[in-house]
Amino acid sequence: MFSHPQPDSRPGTQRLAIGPRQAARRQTLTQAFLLALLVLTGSAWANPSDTVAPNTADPAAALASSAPMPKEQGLLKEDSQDCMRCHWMENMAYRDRETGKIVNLSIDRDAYSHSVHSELACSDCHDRGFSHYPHRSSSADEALNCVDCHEGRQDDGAPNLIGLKHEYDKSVHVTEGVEAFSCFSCHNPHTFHPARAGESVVDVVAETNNTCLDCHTELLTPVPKGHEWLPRPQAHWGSVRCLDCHTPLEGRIPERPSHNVLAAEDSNRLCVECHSKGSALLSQLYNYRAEQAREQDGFFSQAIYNDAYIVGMTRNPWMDRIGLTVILLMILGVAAHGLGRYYIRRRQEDSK
Amino acid sequence: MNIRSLFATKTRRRLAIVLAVILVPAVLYKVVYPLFFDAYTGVKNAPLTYDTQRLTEPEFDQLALELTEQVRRERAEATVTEDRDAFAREVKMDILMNTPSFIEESGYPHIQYFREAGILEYKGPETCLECHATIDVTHGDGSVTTVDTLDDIVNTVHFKFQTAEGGAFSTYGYDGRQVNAEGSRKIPVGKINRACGIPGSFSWTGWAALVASRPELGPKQGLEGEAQSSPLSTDPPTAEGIALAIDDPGAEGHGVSEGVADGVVLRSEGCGQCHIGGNYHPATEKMMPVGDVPDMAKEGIDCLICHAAEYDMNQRYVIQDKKGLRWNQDRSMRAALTVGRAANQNCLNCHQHNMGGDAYIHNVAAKHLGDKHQRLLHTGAKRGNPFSPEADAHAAAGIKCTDCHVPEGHKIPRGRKGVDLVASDLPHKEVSCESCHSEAPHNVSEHRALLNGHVTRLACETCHIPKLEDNNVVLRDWVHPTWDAEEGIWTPTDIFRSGKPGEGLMYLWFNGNGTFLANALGSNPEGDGSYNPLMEQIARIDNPDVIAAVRARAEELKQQYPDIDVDRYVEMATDPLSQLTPEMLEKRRKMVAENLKTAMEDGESRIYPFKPFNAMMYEDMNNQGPFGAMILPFDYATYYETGDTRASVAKAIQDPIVLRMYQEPFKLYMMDEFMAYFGVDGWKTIYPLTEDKQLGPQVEPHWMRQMGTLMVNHGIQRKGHDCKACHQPDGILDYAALGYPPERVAELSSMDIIEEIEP
Repeated sequence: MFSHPQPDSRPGTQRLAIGPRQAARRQTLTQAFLLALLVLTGSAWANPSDTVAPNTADPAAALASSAPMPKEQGLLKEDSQDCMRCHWMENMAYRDRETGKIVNLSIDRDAYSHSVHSELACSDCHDRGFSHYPHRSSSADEALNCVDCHEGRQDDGAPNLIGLKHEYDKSVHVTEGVEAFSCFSCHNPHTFHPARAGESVVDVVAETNNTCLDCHTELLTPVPKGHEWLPRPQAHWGSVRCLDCHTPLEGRIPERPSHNVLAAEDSNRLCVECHSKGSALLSQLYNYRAEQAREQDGFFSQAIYNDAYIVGMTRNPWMDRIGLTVILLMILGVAAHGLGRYYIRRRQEDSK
Repeated sequence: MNIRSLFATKTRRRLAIVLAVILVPAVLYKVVYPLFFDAYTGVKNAPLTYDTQRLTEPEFDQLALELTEQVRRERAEATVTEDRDAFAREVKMDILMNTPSFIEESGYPHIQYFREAGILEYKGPETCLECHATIDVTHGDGSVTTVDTLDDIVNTVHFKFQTAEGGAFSTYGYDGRQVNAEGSRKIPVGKINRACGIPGSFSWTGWAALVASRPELGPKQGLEGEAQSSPLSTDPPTAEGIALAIDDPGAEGHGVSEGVADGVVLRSEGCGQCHIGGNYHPATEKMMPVGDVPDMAKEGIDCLICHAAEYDMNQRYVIQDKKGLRWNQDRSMRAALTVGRAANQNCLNCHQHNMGGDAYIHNVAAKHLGDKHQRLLHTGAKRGNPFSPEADAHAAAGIKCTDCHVPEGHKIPRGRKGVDLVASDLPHKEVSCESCHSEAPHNVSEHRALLNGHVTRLACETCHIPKLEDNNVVLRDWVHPTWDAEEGIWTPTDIFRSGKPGEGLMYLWFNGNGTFLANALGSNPEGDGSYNPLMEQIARIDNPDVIAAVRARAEELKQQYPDIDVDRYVEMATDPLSQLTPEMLEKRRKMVAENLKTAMEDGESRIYPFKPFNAMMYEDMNNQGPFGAMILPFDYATYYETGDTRASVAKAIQDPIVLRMYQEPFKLYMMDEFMAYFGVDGWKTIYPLTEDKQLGPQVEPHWMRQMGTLMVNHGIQRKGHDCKACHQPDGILDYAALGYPPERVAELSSMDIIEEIEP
C-alpha cells in the first residue's frame, strides 16, 4: 500500500524497467530460437552447462514447504496473536524523524507463513520488552543477529550462517563503514524465503535486485550513475542480479550468492565473463534454475524452456561451423563467379 | 428571377437538391427542433438582461483606486502583526502600502487589462470571452490542450448538473447495474433529476420562486449570528391572509414592497440560486442526445460568482420579467475588475449551503441575503460540516478548495468515491487525504504507528470529523409543515436534528460505491457476512434517545395536525421498512442479497462517517419499489405561503415537464431505465393529477424506505476522536452491526489496551 520505499521488499514487486510482459516475450523468442536450433542440429546441446550438476537443495526451502504448521506455533501461538492484534494492520507504520522515510511495522500474515521463519512465534526472537503496549524497547534496541541466532539453533535445523558472516565482513557495506548496516538492511526476516521452485528467473532477479535498489535509489535513473559504460543497463538488470557482477567471481557456490558485495571499482566489468561459453552466470542462479527445471520437467523441456539466452553464452559449435561453412562457400561462389566473368571478358577481347 | 427559373435547367435542379439536402436538416436542427423542444417541455428562453452600468473613464479610475487601496490595505493588515502598538501599526501599514514592490504585488491585474482594452461595462460572458475565447487546460498527466471556453463551461456539471457519460458515476442501481456503465444505454442523470430527500431538487419546478412571506417580527436583516429556530406559533395566518402580490405587474422584481400587500415581504427561493445558468430553468436541452442550450441562455452564465473576489451576493435574488422568474446576478464593474482564479469564498458562495449550512454562523453569503427579495435561509443544515477557518483545519491553514479539488479547465473533480447520484466531471481523478498526507499521517504522538495502522480500516474522516453542527437535519417532515413566525412562512418540520455520532453521524463500510438513492456500499473485510446496511443500519433507528426525541416532536405536531397517530408516526420515521408489505420486504431482501453483493464487495472498504437523512414526502405509489417510490415535487410559493402541502404538490406537477414525464416518449427515452435503477419494474405513466387538478389516490405521504447517507469530508479537526471513543463497550462504533464476528467485537470493544496506554 505504501508508495514510499520500505525496508521489506515484498515478493513480486517489479520495480525494474523490464516488465513481466516484456520478459515473457523474450522468453518466447528464446524458446522459438532454441526449438529452431534443436530442429537444425538434431541434437540437444542447447545448453552447454549440463556437466555441472550441483544438487544441494536448500534445507530451509524444504523446511518451508514441509507439512502444515503444527498448532500453537508461529503466528498462531497465543502470545503472537496478542502482537498481531496490532501488527496485522497494513498501515502500521510511521515516518522516521531522522530519515523522513516511512518505516513499516506491519506483518503480512500470508508472507510470514510462507517465510523460512514461519514456525517461530514472535516472542522467539522479540523476547524482551514487548509483552505490553507501549513497548519498553524498540526493535532497534534488541541487537538481533541472524548469525548468532542460527548458530544457537543448529539442532532445529537452522542453516549455519557463519560462512555468510565471513563473506559479509569483507563486503563494501562493512568496510566502507555504512552506518547502521545489518542483515535487516537487506533481508526482512518476516518475509524471507529462498527462491521457490517454479518461480521464473526474471522474478527471482527482480526480487533480488529490488533489495539493492530499495537503498540505491540513485540507480533508478535512465542513465544510472557508475553504469554509463554498461550497454542497455535496464535489460541487464532485468535478467542479471546486481550480485552477479558485484561479488567475486572466485569461489561461487551454486545455491546462493556471495555476501561479499564488492565496491564499484572492484566489481567485474569484463563482458566476456558472462558473454562467453563458460559464463560466470552459469555458476549460480541460471544453472541452479536449469537443474530444478530439469528435475521437474525432464531434459528436453529444460533445454526448450531454459530462461537464459545470453549473447556469447548460448552457443552451439555446430551452428558456428555451419555458419562459417556458409560464409566460406559464399566467398568461394563469389570468387568463382568473378573469375568466370574475368575469363569470358578476356576471351571476348581476344576474339576482337 | 422567379422561383421557377431556379429549377429551369437540370444543373440548377441538381444544385437546388444538393442545397436542400444540406440546408433542410440544418434548419430543422437549428430552428425547428428547438422550437418544438421548448413547446414540448415548456422550457422558456428569452434574451437575458441585467442591470449593468457603463462607467465613465473617471468613474472607472475612481473604482480602480478604491479596489486597489482596499486590497492593499487588507494585505498590509495581514502582514503587519497585530501585537504592535496601534499607532505604530498604522504607520507601518502606511509605509508598506506605499512601498513600490508591495504596490506591484498587491492589486487586481484585470484593472490594467480592462483599462488597456477600454472595457467600461461588464456585459456578462461576452466581456470575458473577448480575451478568453479559448483556454489552456492542464490535464492530470501534465498534457495541455486548448479548448473553447464557453463550450468547456457549458459541458460541466456546474452548468448542466447531469451527464449521460459512461463511467461518470460510482453509483449502482438496485438492479445491480452501475449507472451509465460502459455498454449500457446511457440516460441523462445527475443532480438535475435525482431522487433525493429534498423535493426542491426536482429543479424544473423549484428553479426560482418569489414567496410572499409575512414575518411577524419585522423584516429580517440577514443572519445575525445564531442559528434560527422554527418556533411553532399558536396563531398561524391562513392562506387567504396572504395576498399573492407577485402577479402584480408593478412588482417587476424591483423593490421589496412595491405593489405588495401590507406586511407581506417577497422572498427569493429555489435551486437556481446556486447554479450558474442564469435563465428561466435548468439546462434541460442538455438532457437530449441532440441540440444545445441556446446562445441566449449561455449569456446568463455567471462567470463572476466563481471568479470575482468582490462578488456581491446581495445581487443574488429572484427577479420577474415578462417571461417569468429567474435569478439576478452581480454584473457590476466592481465585481468584474476583481476577477481571478476561484478562491474559497467563491466556492462557498454556493457550497456553504451543503457544507456548514445556510445558517452557519461564519457563513459570509448568508449575511448578504439580497438587496431585494431576500433569499430564504434554510435553517437546517444539509451536512453541517463547515469549511471555514473556525471549523476546518485545512481552511485554517489557508488551503484552497482547488488545492485538493484540482480543476482541469472548468471541470472540477469530486474524487473517485461518490455515494450519491451527483454527476462527476472527472470521476477518475483522485481527491483524497492520502494524496497529501501519505498513508502514515500521524507524526507527533508516541502511538503514531498504532494510529497510522488504523488507516487500514478507517477513513481519516471517521476520527477527524468528531461531530457535525447541531442544526444538521436527520429527519424532515415535508408533509406537516410548521409556521415560522420570524420568517413569516410555513417551513418543513425538522423532526430530528443532531450532529452527534450515533445520531446525526453514522459509521458504515464504504468502498466508493453508492446506490441510486445515496446509500453507502461496502463490506467488512473481516466480516462474518452479517453486515447488511440496507436491511439494518440505514433502514432503522435504534437509538432510544433519538426515538424519544422523535416521539416528543410528533406529539408537538399532533397539536396542529390532530390526525397524526403518534405511535405509527414514530414507527414510520424510525423503522421505515414498516411501510412495506411483507411481499415487498421479501423482494427487497432478495434484491439486496442478489443485486448489490458485487458492488458491496468491490475494492477495499473502510469505515467512513456518513450523515444519515430521511424525509417524509408525497410519493406516486403507482411507481413504488422495495426501496421507495417516485417522490413528487412541491411548488415553493404555495408551500411556504399556505402550508397546504397537497395543493403545493398539485401545483408543481402541473409543470409541463412533469406532465411529459408521465407520457410515453419520456418513458421510453429515460424513465423506464431510470426506474430500473430505482428498483422498480417499468415506469407507470398514470399522471397523478385528476381532471379537477386534485392529487390522484396514488399520491400518499411516506418516509423514504431507508435513510440516504451523505458523505462528509470537511469540518476536519486536527484532534480526532480519542481511543476510548470507539474502544469501549458502548463506543461510537457498533462493531457487531458493522459485521464483525463476536470474538472480534469483544476484542475491539475491550478496554485493556487503552488502560495500558492511559493507565
